[in-house]
Amino acid sequence: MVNKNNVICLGVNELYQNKQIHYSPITLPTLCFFEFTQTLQDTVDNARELLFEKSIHEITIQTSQVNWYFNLTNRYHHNIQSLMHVDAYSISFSGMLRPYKQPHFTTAKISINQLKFNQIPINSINLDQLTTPLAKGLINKIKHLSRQYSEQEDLYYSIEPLVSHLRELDEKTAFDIHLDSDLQLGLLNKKGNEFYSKMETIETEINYLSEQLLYQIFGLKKGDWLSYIPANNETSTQLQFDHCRVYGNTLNIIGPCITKAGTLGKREQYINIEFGEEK
Amino acid sequence: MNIQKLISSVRQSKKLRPLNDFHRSPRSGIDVIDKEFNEALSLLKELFKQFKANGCKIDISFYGEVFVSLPASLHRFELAISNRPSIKNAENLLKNLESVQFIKLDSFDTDNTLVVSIKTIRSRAEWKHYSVSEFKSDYGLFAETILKELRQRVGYYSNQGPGERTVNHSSTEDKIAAIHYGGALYGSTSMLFYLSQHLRKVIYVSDLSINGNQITVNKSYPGDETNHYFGKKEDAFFKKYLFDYAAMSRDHDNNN
Repeated sequence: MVNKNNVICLGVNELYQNKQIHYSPITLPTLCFFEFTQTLQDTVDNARELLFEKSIHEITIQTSQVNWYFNLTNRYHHNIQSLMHVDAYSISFSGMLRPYKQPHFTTAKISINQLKFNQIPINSINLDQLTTPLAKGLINKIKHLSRQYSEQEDLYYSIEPLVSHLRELDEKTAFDIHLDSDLQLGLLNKKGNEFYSKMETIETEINYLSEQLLYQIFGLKKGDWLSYIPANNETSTQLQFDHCRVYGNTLNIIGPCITKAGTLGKREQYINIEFGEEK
Repeated sequence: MNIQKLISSVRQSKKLRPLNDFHRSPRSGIDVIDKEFNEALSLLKELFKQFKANGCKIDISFYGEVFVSLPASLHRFELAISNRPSIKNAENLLKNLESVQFIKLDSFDTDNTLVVSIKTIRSRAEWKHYSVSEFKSDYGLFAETILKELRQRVGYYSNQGPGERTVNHSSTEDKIAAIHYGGALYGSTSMLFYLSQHLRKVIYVSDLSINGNQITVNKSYPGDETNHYFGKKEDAFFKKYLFDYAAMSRDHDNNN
Protein backbone atom coordinates (compact mmCIF):
# COMPACT_ATOMS: atom_id res chain seq x y z
CA MET A 1 0.00 0.00 0.00
CA VAL A 2 1.29 3.42 -0.86
CA ASN A 3 0.93 5.72 2.09
CA LYS A 4 0.18 9.09 0.67
CA ASN A 5 0.57 12.28 2.53
CA ASN A 6 2.67 11.08 5.40
CA VAL A 7 6.00 12.64 4.57
CA ILE A 8 6.71 15.31 7.10
CA CYS A 9 8.66 18.42 6.17
CA LEU A 10 10.38 20.39 8.94
CA GLY A 11 12.47 23.52 9.16
CA VAL A 12 15.99 23.27 10.57
CA ASN A 13 17.63 25.52 13.17
CA GLU A 14 21.15 25.81 14.41
CA LEU A 15 21.80 24.13 17.75
CA TYR A 16 24.32 25.73 20.10
CA GLN A 17 25.78 23.65 22.85
CA ASN A 18 29.30 24.92 22.73
CA LYS A 19 29.83 28.67 22.75
CA GLN A 20 33.36 28.35 21.41
CA ILE A 21 32.32 26.80 18.12
CA HIS A 22 30.53 28.78 15.46
CA TYR A 23 29.28 26.41 12.82
CA SER A 24 29.42 27.55 9.26
CA PRO A 25 26.01 28.40 7.78
CA ILE A 26 26.96 26.19 4.82
CA THR A 27 26.74 23.16 7.10
CA LEU A 28 23.11 23.93 8.04
CA PRO A 29 20.51 21.94 6.07
CA THR A 30 17.53 23.82 4.64
CA LEU A 31 14.80 21.25 5.26
CA CYS A 32 14.31 17.90 6.95
CA PHE A 33 12.08 15.21 5.46
CA PHE A 34 11.00 11.96 7.00
CA GLU A 35 8.29 9.46 6.30
CA PHE A 36 6.14 8.58 9.29
CA THR A 37 6.01 4.83 8.75
CA GLN A 38 4.57 2.13 10.98
CA THR A 39 8.15 1.14 11.94
CA LEU A 40 8.92 4.66 13.06
CA GLN A 41 5.68 4.83 15.01
CA ASP A 42 6.57 1.56 16.76
CA THR A 43 10.02 2.91 17.64
CA VAL A 44 8.43 6.03 19.10
CA ASP A 45 5.87 3.99 21.06
CA ASN A 46 8.56 1.71 22.49
CA ALA A 47 10.67 4.69 23.49
CA ARG A 48 7.67 6.26 25.22
CA GLU A 49 7.01 3.05 27.15
CA LEU A 50 10.59 3.16 28.38
CA LEU A 51 10.24 6.82 29.36
CA PHE A 52 7.45 6.06 31.80
CA GLU A 53 8.83 2.79 33.03
CA LYS A 54 12.10 4.39 34.11
CA SER A 55 10.87 7.96 34.67
CA ILE A 56 13.15 9.43 32.01
CA HIS A 57 12.52 12.83 30.48
CA GLU A 58 13.82 12.25 26.97
CA ILE A 59 15.25 9.39 24.92
CA THR A 60 17.63 9.91 22.01
CA ILE A 61 17.90 7.24 19.33
CA GLN A 62 20.18 7.10 16.31
CA THR A 63 18.12 6.87 13.15
CA SER A 64 18.63 6.66 9.40
CA GLN A 65 15.07 7.44 8.41
CA VAL A 66 15.48 11.18 7.87
CA ASN A 67 16.73 13.04 4.83
CA TRP A 68 18.39 16.42 5.05
CA TYR A 69 17.84 18.67 2.06
CA PHE A 70 20.24 21.50 1.21
CA ASN A 71 18.99 24.37 -0.92
CA LEU A 72 22.53 25.29 -1.99
CA THR A 73 23.03 22.02 -3.85
CA ASN A 74 19.34 21.21 -4.41
CA ARG A 75 19.87 17.67 -3.16
CA TYR A 76 20.04 15.45 -0.09
CA HIS A 77 23.36 15.28 1.76
CA HIS A 78 24.28 11.92 3.20
CA ASN A 79 27.31 12.59 5.42
CA ILE A 80 24.98 13.23 8.29
CA GLN A 81 24.42 11.25 11.45
CA SER A 82 20.83 11.75 12.59
CA LEU A 83 19.31 11.45 16.04
CA MET A 84 15.67 11.24 17.03
CA HIS A 85 14.60 12.76 20.36
CA VAL A 86 11.46 11.34 21.96
CA ASP A 87 9.78 12.82 25.02
CA ALA A 88 6.32 12.24 26.47
CA TYR A 89 4.52 14.45 23.95
CA SER A 90 6.72 15.07 20.97
CA ILE A 91 9.61 14.05 18.75
CA SER A 92 12.32 16.09 17.06
CA PHE A 93 15.41 15.33 15.02
CA SER A 94 18.95 16.60 15.24
CA GLY A 95 22.02 15.88 13.18
CA MET A 96 25.73 16.37 12.69
CA LEU A 97 27.97 16.40 9.66
CA ARG A 98 30.61 13.69 9.56
CA PRO A 99 33.65 15.12 11.32
CA TYR A 100 31.57 16.74 14.07
CA LYS A 101 30.98 14.77 17.26
CA GLN A 102 28.01 16.74 18.59
CA PRO A 103 24.69 17.55 16.90
CA HIS A 104 24.79 21.11 15.58
CA PHE A 105 21.36 21.51 14.07
CA THR A 106 17.88 20.49 15.10
CA THR A 107 14.31 20.54 13.83
CA ALA A 108 11.19 21.91 15.50
CA LYS A 109 9.27 19.57 17.80
CA ILE A 110 6.22 17.74 16.48
CA SER A 111 3.43 16.49 18.70
CA ILE A 112 3.24 12.69 18.47
CA ASN A 113 -0.58 12.75 18.55
CA GLN A 114 -0.66 15.01 15.49
CA LEU A 115 1.49 12.57 13.54
CA LYS A 116 -0.50 9.38 13.93
CA PHE A 117 -2.22 8.00 10.84
CA ASN A 118 -5.30 6.75 12.57
CA GLN A 119 -7.55 8.42 15.02
CA ILE A 120 -5.84 8.75 18.35
CA PRO A 121 -7.02 6.00 20.70
CA ILE A 122 -8.90 7.24 23.73
CA ASN A 123 -8.19 5.27 26.88
CA SER A 124 -10.85 4.77 29.47
CA ILE A 125 -10.33 4.38 33.20
CA ASN A 126 -11.72 1.30 34.87
CA LEU A 127 -11.91 1.91 38.61
CA ASP A 128 -12.12 -1.83 39.34
CA GLN A 129 -8.41 -2.06 38.59
CA LEU A 130 -7.75 -0.05 41.74
CA THR A 131 -8.51 -3.16 43.80
CA THR A 132 -5.46 -5.12 42.60
CA PRO A 133 -2.75 -5.65 45.24
CA LEU A 134 -0.24 -3.53 43.32
CA ALA A 135 -2.67 -0.64 43.11
CA LYS A 136 -3.57 -0.98 46.77
CA GLY A 137 0.09 -0.88 47.74
CA LEU A 138 0.72 2.25 45.71
CA ILE A 139 -2.43 3.91 47.00
CA ASN A 140 -1.45 3.19 50.58
CA LYS A 141 1.96 4.69 50.00
CA ILE A 142 0.40 7.79 48.43
CA LYS A 143 -2.11 8.09 51.29
CA HIS A 144 0.64 7.75 53.84
CA LEU A 145 2.70 10.45 52.15
CA SER A 146 -0.37 12.59 51.77
CA ARG A 147 -0.98 12.40 55.53
CA GLN A 148 2.64 13.32 56.20
CA TYR A 149 2.25 16.21 53.84
CA SER A 150 -0.75 17.63 55.64
CA GLU A 151 1.03 17.26 58.98
CA GLN A 152 3.97 19.25 57.67
CA GLU A 153 1.59 21.72 56.12
CA ASP A 154 -0.19 22.27 59.46
CA LEU A 155 3.12 22.82 61.22
CA TYR A 156 4.36 25.20 58.59
CA TYR A 157 1.23 27.33 58.56
CA SER A 158 1.04 27.47 62.34
CA ILE A 159 4.48 29.06 62.65
CA GLU A 160 4.31 31.03 59.40
CA PRO A 161 2.31 34.02 60.84
CA LEU A 162 4.66 34.14 63.82
CA VAL A 163 7.72 34.25 61.65
CA SER A 164 6.28 36.90 59.41
CA HIS A 165 5.30 39.03 62.43
CA LEU A 166 8.70 38.67 63.99
CA ARG A 167 10.25 39.77 60.73
CA GLU A 168 8.14 42.94 60.94
CA LEU A 169 9.60 44.03 64.29
CA ASP A 170 11.99 46.87 63.76
CA GLU A 171 15.46 46.77 65.19
CA LYS A 172 14.87 49.39 67.87
CA THR A 173 11.84 47.62 69.39
CA ALA A 174 13.61 44.30 69.29
CA PHE A 175 16.56 45.87 71.11
CA ASP A 176 14.41 47.71 73.68
CA ILE A 177 12.51 44.62 74.75
CA HIS A 178 15.81 42.68 74.91
CA LEU A 179 14.68 40.18 72.31
CA ASP A 180 17.67 38.33 71.04
CA SER A 181 16.45 38.75 67.54
CA ASP A 182 19.17 36.68 65.89
CA LEU A 183 18.51 33.62 67.95
CA GLN A 184 14.70 33.64 68.01
CA LEU A 185 14.09 34.73 64.46
CA GLY A 186 16.83 32.52 63.13
CA LEU A 187 15.48 29.46 64.82
CA LEU A 188 11.91 29.98 63.70
CA ASN A 189 12.96 30.89 60.20
CA LYS A 190 15.10 27.78 59.99
CA LYS A 191 12.24 25.59 61.17
CA GLY A 192 9.89 27.20 58.69
CA ASN A 193 12.28 26.57 55.81
CA GLU A 194 12.81 23.00 56.94
CA PHE A 195 9.08 22.27 56.95
CA TYR A 196 8.70 23.88 53.56
CA SER A 197 11.45 21.90 51.88
CA LYS A 198 10.13 18.71 53.44
CA MET A 199 6.71 19.51 52.00
CA GLU A 200 8.26 19.93 48.57
CA THR A 201 10.11 16.61 48.82
CA ILE A 202 6.94 14.79 49.79
CA GLU A 203 5.02 16.48 46.98
CA THR A 204 7.55 15.35 44.37
CA GLU A 205 7.40 11.83 45.77
CA ILE A 206 3.59 11.84 45.64
CA ASN A 207 3.61 13.09 42.05
CA TYR A 208 6.07 10.39 41.06
CA LEU A 209 3.99 7.68 42.76
CA SER A 210 0.73 8.86 41.26
CA GLU A 211 2.26 8.94 37.76
CA GLN A 212 3.50 5.40 38.38
CA LEU A 213 0.06 4.40 39.64
CA LEU A 214 -1.61 5.72 36.47
CA TYR A 215 1.02 4.07 34.27
CA GLN A 216 1.19 0.68 35.98
CA ILE A 217 -2.50 0.25 36.77
CA PHE A 218 -4.26 1.99 33.88
CA GLY A 219 -1.39 2.06 31.37
CA LEU A 220 -1.69 5.83 31.06
CA LYS A 221 1.20 7.94 29.84
CA LYS A 222 1.54 11.70 29.64
CA GLY A 223 0.21 12.85 26.28
CA ASP A 224 -2.35 10.02 26.11
CA TRP A 225 -5.98 10.84 25.47
CA LEU A 226 -8.47 9.55 27.99
CA SER A 227 -12.13 9.62 28.82
CA TYR A 228 -13.86 9.01 32.15
CA ILE A 229 -17.46 8.79 33.29
CA PRO A 230 -17.83 9.51 37.02
CA ALA A 231 -20.12 7.12 38.91
CA ASN A 232 -22.65 9.80 39.85
CA ASN A 233 -22.71 11.53 36.50
CA GLU A 234 -23.83 10.72 32.99
CA THR A 235 -21.52 12.99 30.98
CA SER A 236 -18.01 11.85 30.22
CA THR A 237 -14.91 13.97 30.52
CA GLN A 238 -12.28 13.75 27.77
CA LEU A 239 -8.80 15.21 28.05
CA GLN A 240 -5.15 14.81 27.17
CA PHE A 241 -3.17 13.71 30.22
CA ASP A 242 -0.82 16.54 31.07
CA HIS A 243 -0.15 16.25 34.79
CA CYS A 244 -1.69 14.86 37.95
CA ARG A 245 -2.01 15.97 41.56
CA VAL A 246 -3.17 14.45 44.84
CA TYR A 247 -5.43 16.28 47.30
CA GLY A 248 -6.18 14.21 50.37
CA ASN A 249 -7.95 11.14 49.08
CA THR A 250 -8.47 12.37 45.53
CA LEU A 251 -6.23 12.02 42.51
CA ASN A 252 -6.76 14.76 39.92
CA ILE A 253 -5.75 14.21 36.31
CA ILE A 254 -5.39 17.55 34.60
CA GLY A 255 -4.95 18.47 30.95
CA PRO A 256 -6.46 20.28 27.95
CA CYS A 257 -9.91 19.06 26.90
CA ILE A 258 -10.63 17.16 23.71
CA THR A 259 -13.33 18.80 21.59
CA LYS A 260 -16.15 16.93 19.88
CA ALA A 261 -14.31 17.40 16.57
CA GLY A 262 -11.47 15.32 17.98
CA THR A 263 -8.91 18.07 18.41
CA LEU A 264 -7.27 19.59 21.46
CA GLY A 265 -9.19 22.44 23.03
CA LYS A 266 -7.88 25.34 25.08
CA ARG A 267 -9.87 24.78 28.27
CA GLU A 268 -8.39 22.70 31.09
CA GLN A 269 -10.32 19.67 32.26
CA TYR A 270 -10.11 17.61 35.42
CA ILE A 271 -10.78 13.98 36.16
CA ASN A 272 -11.11 13.20 39.87
CA ILE A 273 -10.49 9.70 41.11
CA GLU A 274 -11.45 8.93 44.70
CA PHE A 275 -9.25 6.45 46.53
CA GLY A 276 -11.96 5.70 49.06
CA GLU A 277 -11.53 5.40 52.82
CA GLU A 278 -9.33 2.81 54.38
CA LYS A 279 -10.89 -0.03 56.28
CA MET B 1 41.47 6.93 -21.08
CA ASN B 2 39.50 3.72 -20.96
CA ILE B 3 36.19 3.47 -19.16
CA GLN B 4 37.44 1.30 -16.32
CA LYS B 5 40.08 3.92 -15.49
CA LEU B 6 37.49 6.71 -15.53
CA ILE B 7 35.27 4.78 -13.17
CA SER B 8 38.10 4.00 -10.79
CA SER B 9 39.09 7.67 -10.62
CA VAL B 10 35.50 8.50 -9.66
CA ARG B 11 35.74 5.82 -6.96
CA GLN B 12 39.10 7.22 -5.79
CA SER B 13 37.79 10.74 -5.39
CA LYS B 14 34.91 9.61 -3.14
CA LYS B 15 37.02 10.20 -0.04
CA LEU B 16 37.39 13.88 -0.98
CA ARG B 17 33.65 14.49 -1.24
CA PRO B 18 33.08 15.46 2.46
CA LEU B 19 34.89 18.71 1.58
CA ASN B 20 31.76 19.71 -0.36
CA ASP B 21 29.74 20.00 2.84
CA PHE B 22 31.94 22.95 3.82
CA HIS B 23 32.13 24.44 0.33
CA ARG B 24 30.40 27.68 -0.64
CA SER B 25 30.01 26.48 -4.24
CA PRO B 26 30.15 22.69 -3.92
CA ARG B 27 31.57 20.72 -6.83
CA SER B 28 29.26 18.46 -8.77
CA GLY B 29 29.80 14.72 -9.17
CA ILE B 30 28.49 11.57 -7.56
CA ASP B 31 26.77 12.17 -4.20
CA VAL B 32 24.58 9.25 -3.24
CA ILE B 33 23.94 7.09 -0.16
CA ASP B 34 26.82 4.65 0.41
CA LYS B 35 24.71 1.63 -0.40
CA GLU B 36 23.69 3.14 -3.74
CA PHE B 37 27.23 4.12 -4.73
CA ASN B 38 27.99 0.97 -6.71
CA GLU B 39 24.64 1.17 -8.45
CA ALA B 40 25.43 4.76 -9.44
CA LEU B 41 28.85 3.70 -10.75
CA SER B 42 27.44 0.94 -12.91
CA LEU B 43 24.91 3.40 -14.31
CA LEU B 44 27.77 5.81 -15.01
CA LYS B 45 29.71 3.03 -16.73
CA GLU B 46 26.81 2.24 -19.06
CA LEU B 47 26.38 5.93 -19.89
CA PHE B 48 30.12 6.29 -20.56
CA LYS B 49 29.97 3.35 -23.01
CA GLN B 50 27.23 5.09 -24.97
CA PHE B 51 29.00 8.47 -24.85
CA LYS B 52 32.25 6.92 -26.07
CA ALA B 53 30.40 5.16 -28.89
CA ASN B 54 29.16 8.60 -29.94
CA GLY B 55 32.70 9.99 -29.94
CA CYS B 56 32.36 12.13 -26.79
CA LYS B 57 35.34 13.10 -24.67
CA ILE B 58 35.07 12.31 -20.95
CA ASP B 59 37.21 13.75 -18.15
CA ILE B 60 37.16 13.12 -14.42
CA SER B 61 38.61 15.79 -12.15
CA PHE B 62 40.65 15.32 -8.98
CA TYR B 63 37.51 16.07 -6.93
CA GLY B 64 35.43 13.54 -8.88
CA GLU B 65 33.53 15.85 -11.20
CA VAL B 66 32.45 14.30 -14.50
CA PHE B 67 32.93 16.38 -17.67
CA VAL B 68 31.56 15.39 -21.05
CA SER B 69 32.12 17.16 -24.37
CA LEU B 70 30.64 16.41 -27.77
CA PRO B 71 32.96 15.61 -30.69
CA ALA B 72 34.09 18.71 -32.58
CA SER B 73 32.81 21.05 -29.86
CA LEU B 74 34.72 22.85 -27.17
CA HIS B 75 31.71 23.23 -24.88
CA ARG B 76 31.94 21.05 -21.83
CA PHE B 77 29.14 19.71 -19.67
CA GLU B 78 29.09 18.69 -16.03
CA LEU B 79 27.30 15.48 -15.16
CA ALA B 80 26.11 14.74 -11.62
CA ILE B 81 24.37 11.79 -10.00
CA SER B 82 22.65 12.40 -6.68
CA ASN B 83 19.50 11.86 -4.62
CA ARG B 84 17.19 14.78 -5.24
CA PRO B 85 13.61 15.28 -4.12
CA SER B 86 11.26 16.47 -6.84
CA ILE B 87 10.14 19.50 -4.84
CA LYS B 88 10.17 22.47 -7.14
CA ASN B 89 10.28 25.28 -4.69
CA ALA B 90 12.01 24.91 -1.35
CA GLU B 91 11.61 28.64 -0.69
CA ASN B 92 7.82 28.24 -0.62
CA LEU B 93 8.06 25.41 1.90
CA LEU B 94 10.37 27.51 4.07
CA LYS B 95 7.92 30.40 3.97
CA ASN B 96 5.05 28.14 5.02
CA LEU B 97 7.14 26.68 7.83
CA GLU B 98 7.47 30.13 9.41
CA SER B 99 3.94 29.85 10.78
CA VAL B 100 3.53 26.09 11.37
CA GLN B 101 5.61 23.42 13.08
CA PHE B 102 5.52 21.02 10.14
CA ILE B 103 4.00 20.39 6.71
CA LYS B 104 2.65 17.09 5.41
CA LEU B 105 3.75 16.27 1.89
CA ASP B 106 3.13 13.61 -0.69
CA SER B 107 5.83 10.95 -0.52
CA PHE B 108 6.28 11.40 -4.28
CA ASP B 109 7.62 14.95 -3.73
CA THR B 110 10.44 13.86 -1.48
CA ASP B 111 11.36 10.50 -2.94
CA ASN B 112 14.98 9.60 -2.46
CA THR B 113 15.57 8.52 -6.05
CA LEU B 114 18.68 8.66 -8.18
CA VAL B 115 18.78 11.63 -10.51
CA VAL B 116 21.24 12.32 -13.32
CA SER B 117 21.77 16.04 -13.88
CA ILE B 118 23.63 17.93 -16.60
CA LYS B 119 24.75 21.53 -16.96
CA THR B 120 26.89 23.42 -19.46
CA ILE B 121 30.05 24.96 -18.02
CA ARG B 122 28.98 28.49 -18.79
CA SER B 123 27.84 31.36 -16.61
CA ARG B 124 24.13 31.32 -15.70
CA ALA B 125 23.64 27.84 -17.19
CA GLU B 126 20.90 25.81 -15.51
CA TRP B 127 20.88 22.19 -14.40
CA LYS B 128 18.59 19.74 -16.15
CA HIS B 129 17.51 16.69 -14.16
CA TYR B 130 16.56 13.19 -15.33
CA SER B 131 15.09 10.64 -12.96
CA VAL B 132 16.91 7.32 -13.46
CA SER B 133 13.82 5.21 -12.79
CA GLU B 134 12.02 6.73 -15.78
CA PHE B 135 14.39 5.00 -18.19
CA LYS B 136 14.07 1.53 -16.66
CA SER B 137 17.68 0.49 -17.39
CA ASP B 138 17.41 1.35 -21.08
CA TYR B 139 20.85 2.94 -21.10
CA GLY B 140 20.87 3.45 -24.87
CA LEU B 141 17.74 5.57 -24.70
CA PHE B 142 18.98 7.36 -21.57
CA ALA B 143 22.33 8.32 -23.13
CA GLU B 144 20.59 9.33 -26.38
CA THR B 145 18.19 11.61 -24.44
CA ILE B 146 21.11 13.28 -22.68
CA LEU B 147 23.14 13.62 -25.90
CA LYS B 148 20.14 15.13 -27.68
CA GLU B 149 19.91 17.78 -24.96
CA LEU B 150 23.66 18.47 -25.22
CA ARG B 151 23.53 18.84 -29.02
CA GLN B 152 20.54 21.14 -28.73
CA ARG B 153 22.30 23.32 -26.18
CA VAL B 154 25.49 23.52 -28.25
CA GLY B 155 23.34 24.55 -31.22
CA TYR B 156 22.04 27.55 -29.27
CA TYR B 157 25.45 28.85 -28.28
CA SER B 158 26.81 31.40 -30.71
CA ASN B 159 30.47 31.29 -29.73
CA GLN B 160 32.80 28.37 -30.15
CA GLY B 161 33.15 27.73 -26.46
CA PRO B 162 35.74 28.57 -23.91
CA GLY B 163 38.63 26.73 -25.52
CA GLU B 164 40.75 24.09 -23.82
CA ARG B 165 40.75 24.47 -20.08
CA THR B 166 42.40 22.33 -17.54
CA VAL B 167 40.11 20.02 -15.64
CA ASN B 168 41.98 20.29 -12.37
CA HIS B 169 42.72 23.21 -10.16
CA SER B 170 42.16 24.19 -6.53
CA SER B 171 40.26 27.46 -6.26
CA THR B 172 40.30 29.82 -3.28
CA GLU B 173 36.90 28.37 -2.33
CA ASP B 174 38.39 24.85 -2.32
CA LYS B 175 41.14 25.99 0.02
CA ILE B 176 38.69 27.72 2.35
CA ALA B 177 36.48 24.62 2.36
CA ALA B 178 39.54 22.49 3.18
CA ILE B 179 40.38 24.79 6.11
CA HIS B 180 36.80 24.58 7.49
CA TYR B 181 36.70 20.81 7.05
CA GLY B 182 40.14 20.42 8.64
CA GLY B 183 39.01 22.57 11.56
CA ALA B 184 35.99 20.33 12.10
CA LEU B 185 38.12 17.20 11.71
CA TYR B 186 40.97 18.09 14.08
CA GLY B 187 38.87 19.83 16.73
CA SER B 188 39.11 22.94 18.83
CA THR B 189 42.78 22.65 19.76
CA SER B 190 44.01 22.60 16.17
CA MET B 191 45.46 25.44 14.16
CA LEU B 192 42.97 24.85 11.33
CA PHE B 193 40.07 25.18 13.78
CA TYR B 194 41.36 28.57 14.87
CA LEU B 195 41.84 29.72 11.29
CA SER B 196 38.40 28.39 10.32
CA GLN B 197 36.77 30.44 13.10
CA HIS B 198 38.79 33.45 12.02
CA LEU B 199 37.74 33.10 8.36
CA ARG B 200 34.04 33.03 9.34
CA LYS B 201 34.38 36.64 10.47
CA VAL B 202 36.13 37.80 7.31
CA ILE B 203 33.64 39.22 4.83
CA TYR B 204 35.69 38.84 1.68
CA VAL B 205 38.83 36.87 0.92
CA SER B 206 40.43 38.04 -2.31
CA ASP B 207 43.17 35.44 -2.32
CA LEU B 208 44.38 32.62 -0.15
CA SER B 209 47.60 30.74 -0.73
CA ILE B 210 48.98 27.72 1.06
CA ASN B 211 52.72 27.32 0.73
CA GLY B 212 55.32 25.29 2.52
CA ASN B 213 54.35 25.87 6.11
CA GLN B 214 52.21 28.98 5.94
CA ILE B 215 48.77 30.10 4.81
CA THR B 216 48.49 33.69 3.55
CA VAL B 217 45.03 35.24 3.59
CA ASN B 218 44.51 38.37 1.48
CA LYS B 219 41.40 40.24 2.50
CA SER B 220 39.41 43.02 0.85
CA TYR B 221 42.20 45.48 0.05
CA PRO B 222 45.87 45.04 -0.91
CA GLY B 223 48.23 44.86 2.02
CA ASP B 224 45.53 43.60 4.37
CA GLU B 225 46.95 40.14 4.74
CA THR B 226 47.55 37.70 7.56
CA ASN B 227 49.91 34.76 7.78
CA HIS B 228 49.18 31.53 9.59
CA TYR B 229 51.81 28.86 10.15
CA PHE B 230 51.08 25.15 10.15
CA GLY B 231 52.87 21.89 10.87
CA LYS B 232 53.23 18.37 9.51
CA LYS B 233 49.70 17.21 10.32
CA GLU B 234 48.16 20.03 8.28
CA ASP B 235 50.72 19.47 5.53
CA ALA B 236 49.58 15.86 5.15
CA PHE B 237 45.95 16.98 5.24
CA PHE B 238 46.42 19.52 2.44
CA LYS B 239 48.31 16.97 0.36
CA LYS B 240 45.26 14.76 0.51
CA TYR B 241 42.58 17.35 -0.13
CA LEU B 242 44.08 20.00 -2.43
CA PHE B 243 44.91 19.15 -6.02
CA ASP B 244 47.96 21.25 -6.75
CA TYR B 245 49.19 21.50 -3.17
CA ALA B 246 52.23 19.29 -3.72
CA ALA B 247 53.14 21.33 -6.82
CA MET B 248 52.72 24.57 -4.87
CA SER B 249 55.03 23.36 -2.14
CA ARG B 250 57.65 22.30 -4.66
CA ASP B 251 57.63 25.76 -6.24
CA HIS B 252 58.05 27.24 -2.83
CA ASP B 253 61.02 25.01 -2.08
CA ASN B 254 62.64 25.89 -5.40
CA ASN B 255 62.30 29.58 -4.71
CA ASN B 256 64.26 29.29 -1.52
